Amino acid sequence: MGVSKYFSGAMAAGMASILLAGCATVPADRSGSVSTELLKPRSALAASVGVAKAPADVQSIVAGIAAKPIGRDEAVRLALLQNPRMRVLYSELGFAQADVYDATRLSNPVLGYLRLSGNGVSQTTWSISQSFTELLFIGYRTRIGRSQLLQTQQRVASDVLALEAEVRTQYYRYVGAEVLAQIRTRSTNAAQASAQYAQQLYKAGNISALQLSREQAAAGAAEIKQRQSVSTALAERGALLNLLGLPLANSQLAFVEELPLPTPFSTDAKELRSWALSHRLDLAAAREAVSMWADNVTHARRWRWLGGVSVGAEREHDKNSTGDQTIKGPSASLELPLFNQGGSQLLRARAHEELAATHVAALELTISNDIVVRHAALQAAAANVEQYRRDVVPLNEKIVELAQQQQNYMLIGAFELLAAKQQEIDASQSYVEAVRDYWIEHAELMRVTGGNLPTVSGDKP
Amino acid sequence: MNVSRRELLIASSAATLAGVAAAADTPRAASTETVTPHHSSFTPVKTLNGWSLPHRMKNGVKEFHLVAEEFEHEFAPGCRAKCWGYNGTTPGPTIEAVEGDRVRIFVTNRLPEHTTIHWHGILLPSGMDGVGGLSQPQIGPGETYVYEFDLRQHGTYMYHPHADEMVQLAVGMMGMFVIHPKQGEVAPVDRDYAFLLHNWALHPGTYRPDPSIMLDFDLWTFNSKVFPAIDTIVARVGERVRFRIGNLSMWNHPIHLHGHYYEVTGSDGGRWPRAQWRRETSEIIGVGQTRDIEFVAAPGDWALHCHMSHHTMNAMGHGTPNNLGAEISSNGSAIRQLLPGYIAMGSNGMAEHAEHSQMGHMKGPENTLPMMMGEGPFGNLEMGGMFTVVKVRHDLARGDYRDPGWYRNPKGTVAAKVSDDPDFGTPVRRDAESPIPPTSPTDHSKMDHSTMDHSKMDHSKM
Repeated sequence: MGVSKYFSGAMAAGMASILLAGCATVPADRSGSVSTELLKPRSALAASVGVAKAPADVQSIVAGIAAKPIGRDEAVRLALLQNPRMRVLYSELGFAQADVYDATRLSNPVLGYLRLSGNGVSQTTWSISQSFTELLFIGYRTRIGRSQLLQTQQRVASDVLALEAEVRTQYYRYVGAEVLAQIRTRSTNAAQASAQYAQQLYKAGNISALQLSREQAAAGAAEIKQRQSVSTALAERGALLNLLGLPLANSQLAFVEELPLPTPFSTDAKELRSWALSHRLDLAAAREAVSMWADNVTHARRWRWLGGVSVGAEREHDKNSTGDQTIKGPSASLELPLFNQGGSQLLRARAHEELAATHVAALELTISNDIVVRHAALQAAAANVEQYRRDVVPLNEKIVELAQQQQNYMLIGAFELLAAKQQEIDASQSYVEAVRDYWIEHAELMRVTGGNLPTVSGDKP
Repeated sequence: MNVSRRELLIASSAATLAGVAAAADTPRAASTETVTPHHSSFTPVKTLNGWSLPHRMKNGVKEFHLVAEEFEHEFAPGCRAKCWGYNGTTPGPTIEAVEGDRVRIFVTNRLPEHTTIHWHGILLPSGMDGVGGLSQPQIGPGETYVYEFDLRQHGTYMYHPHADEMVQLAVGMMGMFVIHPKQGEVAPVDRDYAFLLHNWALHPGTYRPDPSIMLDFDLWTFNSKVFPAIDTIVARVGERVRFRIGNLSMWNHPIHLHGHYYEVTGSDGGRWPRAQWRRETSEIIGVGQTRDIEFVAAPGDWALHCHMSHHTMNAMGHGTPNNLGAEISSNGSAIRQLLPGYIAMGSNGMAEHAEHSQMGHMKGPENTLPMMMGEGPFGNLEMGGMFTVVKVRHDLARGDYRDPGWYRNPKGTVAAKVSDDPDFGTPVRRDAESPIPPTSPTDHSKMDHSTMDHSKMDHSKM
């Protein structure tokens, strides 16, 4: 019985090792959390997200943030806590975790039991079998599983950064709209003061109905513009609160209504491009996919001739009139690659690989082009802001001052003076729009770059 | 030197005229008065804010040298501009000579373009008349020309360019040319003042007059000065004062003197015979004319000004909104929310503006004068432009041209306040007309349409 002893020993050892192998491959990161590691170099805010929080915790954090006027970073934090999309991303991660779990585990061994009896004869067979190819390929499957998880992590992180960019943009849109609505109020005041003045002159019989009507029409138009600006501000507030997952009815919510001046950045487009190509997480995921499919192709090519192999053991116990006996031994099965040599698997793998490569190339091209465009747009926006700040706004202030001097000496009348004031107010409106547009461009460039811009000063306001 | 027949003829007829004038001089000579031949020395002219050009004698010829050039000129403290003129001033120095003199006038051109000088009203050879292109070639930049002619008349004349005339006049080029009579004055003059009337388009905030302006001027001047920078005119009580006034502006000016009647005694056509002297208190001096005005000085402080009220103001906007009678003070505070420096002015007239600017409440554009200025002994004068004061005193010495200060009115001769109550007394009034409503539509019911001639109307187009 030496052979059977050997077999049972070997079998036991094989079983044990299979078990160990099956159990040992537990992925290190089991929780459904966004990857801090990926996000830290790209956004400190997004990196602080971590795991999905309990509703009670979220509520208390939100209450803490909402107690003071909310700035841009706090708005991003709120969105990362409350935006429903985050929950979608967390569940995607959950799914990915499940897939990794499966991919890195062997399928369970199958225990068989057969009992045949009749005519005083019985046969009891116990068998156990385990897919061997799975064991053989466990390293490969683990690699693939990990790669898929990484890709999902990268895509999710990319989506988180995209959400952050969206929140930034909407925050600037909203704050800009609020400030513009205030400016519109001043403009309306000027138009109304002009119309009021005209009314008094008309009452005294000093101007014609035609001139009065013109002034009143202008005041009416200004009031309409102001109403529109208030509506716009409300719409932008609604869109922002949607992103933050907060109800609009909560009118106590205050935001920091200030647009800071642009901060200098001196990266040239080429440097920015190579930074983006190395930082964009969706590109990283696409590249990861390419290497995963390459691995797949190699594997498919190498093992195409190997059909499914399983190993096992059987123990049969026969009982008949002459007595009973037990026989046992190993079992093995091998799929013969006669009609199918895994060609479709290889073809499919190759097709996937090509698709993935195409995707990477397309993404690289888009990113490169977008970088050039967005970088130029940001520079132009910064130049506009500077021109408003340095020239246009001070000049308009000077115009009002000089016009006031002329009106002091009755060289021009109050209508002309108020018109100069209106022009100054319009210039300040254009200035605010330019600053808002700069920051929107900045958020967009950050999104296209894949997170923080390379220069240290380029990000913080 | 050859004296032509024509010149002889003119010289002799001038002498005859002088004789005729001497005879016509004495309408009352039918009585016992005799005409004493007058001294041929003359009272030198006092050019307001200006000067007379010195000359040198060269072989019996009076030599003058005029230099046409650009310089900075002050209209009044706080307002100066780059102007063109002669020998550093606008107007240029007065040229004074005596009838019968031969004058030689050098003209150096330091302007960036060519120029000439026309001797307005003076009888001279055609080639000395100074019309560029017609009488002579223009004097190019850097060049010096010489004019030479005999003076065979006396009176008040002017000199000014006759090349690119509109521009050169507009920026200040002009001067008086006074020719004193050889025989002396018909009525001896104790004080003889000369000034030119002019207008300037010095837009607020600028430093050079704009020659393209034809009607909307900013500054109106006597000898290129505006009130309160125009020299005071002084005289002793009883002195005979003459004004020689020339007008090279773009508009006619009625020059009015308070407290006197004066006689208009001559023009740039020469001295008028006494029978043609006219009594006026306002004499319109047309563009291109001169007038001699004479009066006997009476004691007091008397306004002398152009009677066009806009010409006794410095720059004001045209077409600005009319605030008179409008309730704008509450609107003024609404406007002040946007424009903190705004003061609503003019609803009761412009006097409060003069008050504000006199007290320095408001800043005007740079290099610009307030439209109404000046302070008198009793309050704001609210004047500008073509305005000055003639101060006549008992105790002013002959030849003393210093400002004697304000007139001390004898007791009981100052308008005095009697009441503060607007309802004081019982003034007689006519019934007030019904007030003008601002928006009453035309009331056809009271019109008589029966007298309208409809026959000529084209009813097809109605």
